[in-house]
Amino acid sequence: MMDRESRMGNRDLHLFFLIDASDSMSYGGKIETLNNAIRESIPHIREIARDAEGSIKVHALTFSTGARWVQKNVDIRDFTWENMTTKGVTDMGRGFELLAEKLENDFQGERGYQPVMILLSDGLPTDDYEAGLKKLKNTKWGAKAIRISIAIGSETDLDVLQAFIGDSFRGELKPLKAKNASELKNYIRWASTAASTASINPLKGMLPPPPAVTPESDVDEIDW
Amino acid sequence: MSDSLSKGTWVASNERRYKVLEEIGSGGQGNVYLVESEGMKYALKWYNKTSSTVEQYRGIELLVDKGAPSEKFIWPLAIVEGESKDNFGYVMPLIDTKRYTKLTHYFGGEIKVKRYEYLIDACIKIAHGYNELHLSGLCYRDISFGNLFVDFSTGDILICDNDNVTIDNLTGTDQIWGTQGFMAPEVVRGEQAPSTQTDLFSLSVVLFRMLHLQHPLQGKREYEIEIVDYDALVDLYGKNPVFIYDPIDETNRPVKGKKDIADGYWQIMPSFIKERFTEAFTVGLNDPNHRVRESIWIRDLLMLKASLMYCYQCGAQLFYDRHRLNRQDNCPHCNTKVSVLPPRLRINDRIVMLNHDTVLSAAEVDDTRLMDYEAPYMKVEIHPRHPEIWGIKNLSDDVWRYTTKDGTEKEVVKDGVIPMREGQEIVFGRFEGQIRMGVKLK
Repeated sequence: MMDRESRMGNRDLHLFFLIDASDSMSYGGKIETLNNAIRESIPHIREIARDAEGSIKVHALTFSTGARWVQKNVDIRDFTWENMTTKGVTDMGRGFELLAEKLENDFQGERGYQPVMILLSDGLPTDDYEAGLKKLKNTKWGAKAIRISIAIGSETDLDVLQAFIGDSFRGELKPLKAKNASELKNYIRWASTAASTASINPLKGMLPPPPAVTPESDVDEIDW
Repeated sequence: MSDSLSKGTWVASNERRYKVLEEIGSGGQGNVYLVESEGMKYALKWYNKTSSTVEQYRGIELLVDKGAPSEKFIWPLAIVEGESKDNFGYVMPLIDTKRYTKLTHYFGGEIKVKRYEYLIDACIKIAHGYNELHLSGLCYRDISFGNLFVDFSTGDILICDNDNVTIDNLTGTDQIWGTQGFMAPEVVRGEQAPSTQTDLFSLSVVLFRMLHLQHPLQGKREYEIEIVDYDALVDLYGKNPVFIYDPIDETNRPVKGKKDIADGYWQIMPSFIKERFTEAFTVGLNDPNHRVRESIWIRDLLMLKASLMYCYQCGAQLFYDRHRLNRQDNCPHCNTKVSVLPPRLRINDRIVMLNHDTVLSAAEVDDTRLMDYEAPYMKVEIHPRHPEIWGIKNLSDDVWRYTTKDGTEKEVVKDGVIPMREGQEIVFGRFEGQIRMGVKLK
């Protein structure tokens, strides 16, 4: 029988995390929870990748004073998460711009599922986020992305997070509000897994709603 | 009690209590847990609040009442509930994942199959499984690699996620059922609810992919889509589906070197099976009433298995094709001309290969016993002291009769052997056959 080699012509799913690493994320254990929440979601994303043809490639950038890539195009099978540290202001617009530049440059002629972009932030952008967001949505891959945002804590500007989502997934998505650690864990897991599943199988229709947080799991929560 | 169950929680059916041991899976409708009751382990599917509907409850109730169509199904055994009225679930047998591979994992490349027999056996059993389901008035609605498990060392299969199953009389199209690539075009277009007829389309996709790896509708057209989204898929699978080997429309052929894994398999398949797949993905693509039925697949797959032979140069498995005898191909593995054929047995219009290791079931030799494909009926036996003498051994309770070279009539019962001889005629119980010895083609 034949060897499969690389002749299956499978496509990959690109999963982008856009993470707020500004100073305010260091209060109340937010960044530590976020680090753990992403780590906990990895095996669940791997399960989805096992069931998919093609692989899931993870990218992550952080924005604070400026923006930078912390993970680029890592196969979920090899993906590990380094603890993030926080510092500076919230240049969210620069984060969008950095992503737009990558999509323009590295994704020409690529084949893929609809990319999934997850924005995690606890605050108000300090730069011109609208200009950055416009650039992102003007790219072919940015426009076709399933964009989800998670507000960490109650200080977040939900309009900004809603603007990021835009008309993604037929305009049916709202920002998720993580008021405590267990909600954040749940939402990160849901966003990365349910959105990936929806991207790989768009004909199934709606994204299933995020899970309700159970009272029992609130015991060890950090209150924000 | 909520959408997720913590370790140690108890849930109960009418008859038993089950203790939750750990989460073993999750999906859009809820989570799956390993549970224990009276020393036995089971799987529990626990619906989240959104999916814990009255319709779902009634649906599972119906399946529990009806019982599994056969042992191929991981069927709901009982409905279970917890403390809250918001959620429920059902228990089912546990899948031995050491033995069985989920087909999504197989197609993800986790294991490779070296020989065709078990692959074809799995195809036969998959077709048979859905046949059993359809005969009990049910349809599956979401046949895909996500709910099929195969033991590639035996060809045994399991069909799971049977909460997809329902009575075959749906009309509404408001809820989308199915998995991309497996849904019939009329379901993708939102025109028809899933039914037995749409299951047959999904089945033909499963069978094509089992034998060719590549998707029957994913050629050039799919390859050229940059970012695949809802609209792209509706076009590819619903509005403008084209078979990659459509005899007339060549616009969707495999893409050389990029997406052409099927080419290697398609070229060695015998004509009859290619014709059947062509029927499934041309006429059957657009006309739900002209889909290839399970019994036809089973008959063809049995014939495909009986066509297996070897390349005597490199030992690779090939398929005999009587329509290609006069224009021999090169072996795709060692590229030498295939010039030696094994002994063959002709029964009516069937030609069955008699390789050194051939074992045949009744289904492969007797048209009237299509589903009797598991028990061995005969096998090729090589004389222990004279390796040049081959025979066929009776493994059945039928009494076989033949006339020897010198005109003596003989009877052969179970475990008896008839030596192979050119032109030898044999009366097997209810049917007759003739042997043709191995030849060297020019």
